[in-house]
Amino acid sequence: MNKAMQRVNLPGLAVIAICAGLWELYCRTLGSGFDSIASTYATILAVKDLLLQGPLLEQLLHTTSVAIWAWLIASALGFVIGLCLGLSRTAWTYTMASIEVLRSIPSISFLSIAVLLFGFSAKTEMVIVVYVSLWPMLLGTLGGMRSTPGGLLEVARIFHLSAISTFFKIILPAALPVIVVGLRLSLTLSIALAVVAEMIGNPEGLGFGIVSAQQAMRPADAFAYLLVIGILGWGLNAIFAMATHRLDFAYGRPS
Amino acid sequence: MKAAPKHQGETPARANSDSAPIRGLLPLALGLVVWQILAPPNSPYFPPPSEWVRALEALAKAGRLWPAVATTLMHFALALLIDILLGSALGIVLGRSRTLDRLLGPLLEFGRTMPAGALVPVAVLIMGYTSSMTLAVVVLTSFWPILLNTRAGASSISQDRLDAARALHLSWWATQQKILLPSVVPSIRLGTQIAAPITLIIVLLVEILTQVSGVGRQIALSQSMFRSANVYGLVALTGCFGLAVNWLIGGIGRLTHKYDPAFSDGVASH
Amino acid sequence: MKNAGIGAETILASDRAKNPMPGNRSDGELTFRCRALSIDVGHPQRRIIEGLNLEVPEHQFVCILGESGVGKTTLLRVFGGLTPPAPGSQLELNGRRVIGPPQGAVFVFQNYTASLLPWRTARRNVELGLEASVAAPERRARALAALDLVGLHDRAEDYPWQLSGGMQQRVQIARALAVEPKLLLMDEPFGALDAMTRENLQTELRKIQRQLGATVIFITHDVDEAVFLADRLIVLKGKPASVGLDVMTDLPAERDQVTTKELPRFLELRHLIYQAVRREGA
Repeated sequence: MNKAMQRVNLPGLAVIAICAGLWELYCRTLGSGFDSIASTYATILAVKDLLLQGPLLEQLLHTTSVAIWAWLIASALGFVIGLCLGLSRTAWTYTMASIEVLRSIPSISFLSIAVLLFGFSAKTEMVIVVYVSLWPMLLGTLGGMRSTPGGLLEVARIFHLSAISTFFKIILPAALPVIVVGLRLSLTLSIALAVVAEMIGNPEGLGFGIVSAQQAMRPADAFAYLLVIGILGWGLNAIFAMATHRLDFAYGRPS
Repeated sequence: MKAAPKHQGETPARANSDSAPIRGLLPLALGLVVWQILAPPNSPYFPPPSEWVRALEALAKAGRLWPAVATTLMHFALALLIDILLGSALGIVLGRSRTLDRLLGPLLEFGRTMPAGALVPVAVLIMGYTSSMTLAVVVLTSFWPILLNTRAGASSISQDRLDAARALHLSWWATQQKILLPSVVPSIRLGTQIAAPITLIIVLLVEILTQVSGVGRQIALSQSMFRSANVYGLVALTGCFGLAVNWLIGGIGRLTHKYDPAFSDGVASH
Repeated sequence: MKNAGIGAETILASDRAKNPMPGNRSDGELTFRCRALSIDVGHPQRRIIEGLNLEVPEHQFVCILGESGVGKTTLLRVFGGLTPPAPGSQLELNGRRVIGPPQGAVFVFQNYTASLLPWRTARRNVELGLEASVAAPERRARALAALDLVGLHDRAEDYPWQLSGGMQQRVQIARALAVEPKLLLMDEPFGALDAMTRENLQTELRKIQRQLGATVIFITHDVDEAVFLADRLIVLKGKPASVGLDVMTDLPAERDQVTTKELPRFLELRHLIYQAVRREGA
């Protein structure tokens, strides 16, 4: 029990609570003149209202499901492409430079192209999120496949492992840490892009919610959405970290 | 401990450090050529590359291109600079003080995982459509890699070096200058290399969302007016920015080469 | 290190000769042989080994010595089929040409950390060579037996990062032993270990080799280690290198870290080697 308590970092959480309290104080005193900010209490009230009487819940579900589906599709695509390029020297030679150029284009620019081509819709949102999120996974998989330590490959040779065995027992496991990093980055991008796409490309979800609140000059609602989005990002990241914790242990990086 | 012998791993296999051969540009070049040939010049959705160039020229003539480029690049440069200063300062403080690190941990974790665009509406409410709003959002979203890497570097300065400083009776300031800074420079550099492309993306993101100024604004305007050739041309332009940033990253690596010791753990923090 | 129980020996060495006679040439197929072996390395190519002739009969423990950089590791890698020799070289194991790592031979690398799979436990690392040919239950038993031989039976479920350098190297050796190789090629396996661990492992290695009847070609730059372990000593010398000294140790089969090293023959051999290495220091 003690160890679990230690892991929870109570002092850190206390700091957050203190900051929330200080913000509340500020809003009631020095900041009371500004009508574009919302106090902690007002924010929490707004969350409650939006949740119970407003569209917050369905917006949350929409953004979450888009982010997760897009992440899964993007990861699968990125993995497969990365795998092919990693395994086939010819494919790599004849496409890598193009990939380097394409990936230099800031991903956000494609959002505008997607809106141009597909208009404002859920399809736009999915397409853009998948496109942007597949890059970290692609590059991670590719990088992982191409950087198998030579020593381990020699071990495969001395034990006469077949090509397939070498792939599944050595190349793939060696690449796993990098691939997991790619997965995490993809997830981060999926969430961020889903929200952004909803701000411009698709009038649904949390992104749409926060932009509406801003345009209607309702700071409490805007802060409420910001809080919920932040928790979504934080939550999904935390789940991912817990899921991959075991992997850290096996690979020698216990935390 | 002996160093690893040079022979093991001679089996030539996978060298990640090979740079991509130029022939790899073939698909891209081919794609552009095919596009150019097949697309009619007035195609609403897929104008050929020649139209993109024309569109950019027109924008330039109308005096809207270069000021936008200048604004975007200026936002980028300023933001990156602040990223480095803020990220490294905070990173060093957190790296050297376990207490502070633990106290601020959850707060920073929340900030780090905050999806990038979400800050924009709130920032607009508070600061309005200004350059400082843009800078604030960009910095708060993109300085994290520098913070994390610097923190990792600062917290893993070898005790030997610190002991050496004490044995030599170096003053606090001298220790910071001669031991701490050189040790964290590789981390700051690595963080900067990761943060730079992110900074560019967020600058464009803010410009697209808020349409205040810059290339992002032009892209958003063109898109809302269905000027597809403009959009593609501007996107290609941002691609050039991206390539320039990559080149910059490589350059940073070469410039700070002298600070390259063996760093204990070459793994970057995102 | 604990001595292995009967079970371990039975599982691994059931049909091996228990008392090999070093130096005797058997008619058997288990002979390692090279003729006119030359090796080129580097860009531009530089000949580091010239016209080497060597025959190693079965069950013999050969130690190869030489100054740093003379080419010992490269030579062993060529023997192990990891690096190709120069054209015109002849290299055979059991009468079959060596092209790529030969069946029946296992290489033990100097850098043990780079040779173990970090994501597998010690036992699963040891099982690696057995996975293609042996079913799971027997494989597990053989892996545990091999780990027992090197004294790591109770660390079988630990990951490499949880083990010390000496233990990691022992895991690598156990992995090599688990496949019951006829030929063991060892590249300065104890070089990065502390003196006590090294001496323990040397003693154990000789015992294991005699139990299993394996042929061993062992590279080291440590003269005492070489003389202690070997039935036969070879010194590489020259630029390009060739055999400078080739001598049978004629030391008793049972060896001890203290008493063996006090024998006159031991000192004589040391002397011979130092002379051979230092003369014409290139």
